[in-house]
Amino acid sequence: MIEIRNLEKSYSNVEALRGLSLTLKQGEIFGLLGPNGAGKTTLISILAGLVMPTRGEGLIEKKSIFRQTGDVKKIIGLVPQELSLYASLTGKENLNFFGRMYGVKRKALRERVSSLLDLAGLNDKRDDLVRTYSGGMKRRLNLVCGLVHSPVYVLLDEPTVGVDPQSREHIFHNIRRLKEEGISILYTTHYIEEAEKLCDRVAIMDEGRIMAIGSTNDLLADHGCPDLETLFLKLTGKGLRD
Amino acid sequence: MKLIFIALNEFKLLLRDRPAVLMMIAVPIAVITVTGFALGGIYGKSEAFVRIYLPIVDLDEGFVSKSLVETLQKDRTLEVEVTEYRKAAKLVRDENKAAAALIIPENFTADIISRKPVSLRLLTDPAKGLEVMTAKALITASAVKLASGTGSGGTGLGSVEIKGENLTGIKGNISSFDENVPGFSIMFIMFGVLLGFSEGIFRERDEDHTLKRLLVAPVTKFSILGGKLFARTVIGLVQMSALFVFGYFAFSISLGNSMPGMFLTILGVAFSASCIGLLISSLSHSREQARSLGTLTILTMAAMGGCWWPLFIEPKWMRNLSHVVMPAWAMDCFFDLMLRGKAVADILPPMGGLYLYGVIALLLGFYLSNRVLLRQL
Repeated sequence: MIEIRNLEKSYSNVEALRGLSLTLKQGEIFGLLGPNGAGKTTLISILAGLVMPTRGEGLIEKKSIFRQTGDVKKIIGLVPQELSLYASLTGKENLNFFGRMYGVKRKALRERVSSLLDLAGLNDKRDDLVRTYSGGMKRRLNLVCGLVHSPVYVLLDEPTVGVDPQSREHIFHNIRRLKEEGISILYTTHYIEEAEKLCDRVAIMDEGRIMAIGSTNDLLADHGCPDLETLFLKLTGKGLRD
Repeated sequence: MKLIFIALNEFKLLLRDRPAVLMMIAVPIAVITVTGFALGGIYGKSEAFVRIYLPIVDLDEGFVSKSLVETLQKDRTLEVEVTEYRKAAKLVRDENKAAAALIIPENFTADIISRKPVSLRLLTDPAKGLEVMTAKALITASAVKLASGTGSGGTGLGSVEIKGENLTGIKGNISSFDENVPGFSIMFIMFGVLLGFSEGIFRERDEDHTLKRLLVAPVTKFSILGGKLFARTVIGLVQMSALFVFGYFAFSISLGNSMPGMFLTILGVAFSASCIGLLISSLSHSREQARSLGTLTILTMAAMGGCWWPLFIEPKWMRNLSHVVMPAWAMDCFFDLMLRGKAVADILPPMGGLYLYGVIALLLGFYLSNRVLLRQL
């Protein structure tokens, strides 16, 4: 379980997170929705150990995210919003390299890489350079690179940006498979229908705060909205953010 | 008309990148300034004129030898010090402070007057070949002038001979390649390794975004940066070794008597250049800035550190500043090994300077990387 309590983060004169608290339960897909600048990426960066918060506490399986970073990093997988791949390496070489970084042993890594290439539908392209991949193939590889060390918690930062419907469906299928394996997923997206489709619970964030949290059905009932998009706009407003 | 709009848009795009515009001006200004100061001496500006330090030992002390010393003292290219033999030899052989020392033999005056052939001895450090050649030419000119003045005339002119004695060298004839191969190799290693490191890390941070993935893995920043530095150092080592091997076979440059010394010096250059690359990256905010700052650093260091020309042609104040930059330490090591035939134990001070340079750049680079380079993810 991931528990975050009163998390605050300030960058010079900008408050990115303002006392944010939430819990991610074992084996659930938790959707994080919010307009640009709401603080979603800051939260993901803090959970991944890239950024230290100004205040607050974060626990993963009762281990402090900020003090036991070595232990925590081993059980967290991050799939960044940007494609984070070595274009001059093959898909297999990328997976092997990142697996090594997580200390996955040679034999286990060989098996893991093979199964992840299958999962990404890239087994026939395993020895091609990533620079020759299409956008969708890169997105799928980007996703499985975050899973190479068999994490218990996966942070997915807008993993479907710029992909075709087929690749998106493929990614959704994989995310559901991860859930079936008991992996907890924190999923940020701008596509509200994705959150409705995939997530067990969602939180709507704005200006560094949680505006609403719960299952989609409960939230719609509580706020009297017909769909999540109407609720989203009701809570965050229609004004442009960037 | 669209052509004009496209051109205007190009100007606008360029002007938005202020550091790039600044560097477009700053890099050539810095190189022009350093080169201008360095070469000022050979264009005859009095305060910066090339000065060759020349110890003279007058074993004769006759009026002709004293006249010769006075004539040489009046030459603004020479900085003459009359001293005794042991000190003169030490200045050339052990301290590398003088390229040559002139020994005026006993009976010089008597032999000149009686029109006997005379020999002046010139103790030389062949590692400073150009300086020795210049000193020799100036001494010859003065001796000829003096011989004419003392009435030895036509017969006396040809009879003053200058005999060179190499005190340090392992090689008779030093070619320009003996200076240029180490000098230009250092510069190009800096281009490959220093710019390679600094541009590479920004590409990983801002374009490939792979640095982010490394930072979320259970890998220390020391391992990430250290691994990259190690690879660049090995690349620099291989690249520079290949250049020296080429120089040896193609131009017969000397590789000296100490292969371990050459290996350690080449390793030191590659290591220091990589560490300076880390420091440059840590001081920059983008790949473009790192490229500009790196180029500025490399060209300034190459000019100041003696990669392009022998340091003796630089004015004294620049020579005194030369060891502020890494290449000067490396060139000292290479000349000691290749041209003076020294062993590793003899070059510990310049070798220490070379590695210390790298260590300081490494520590500063690591410290600053936390504040800028890795924080901007």
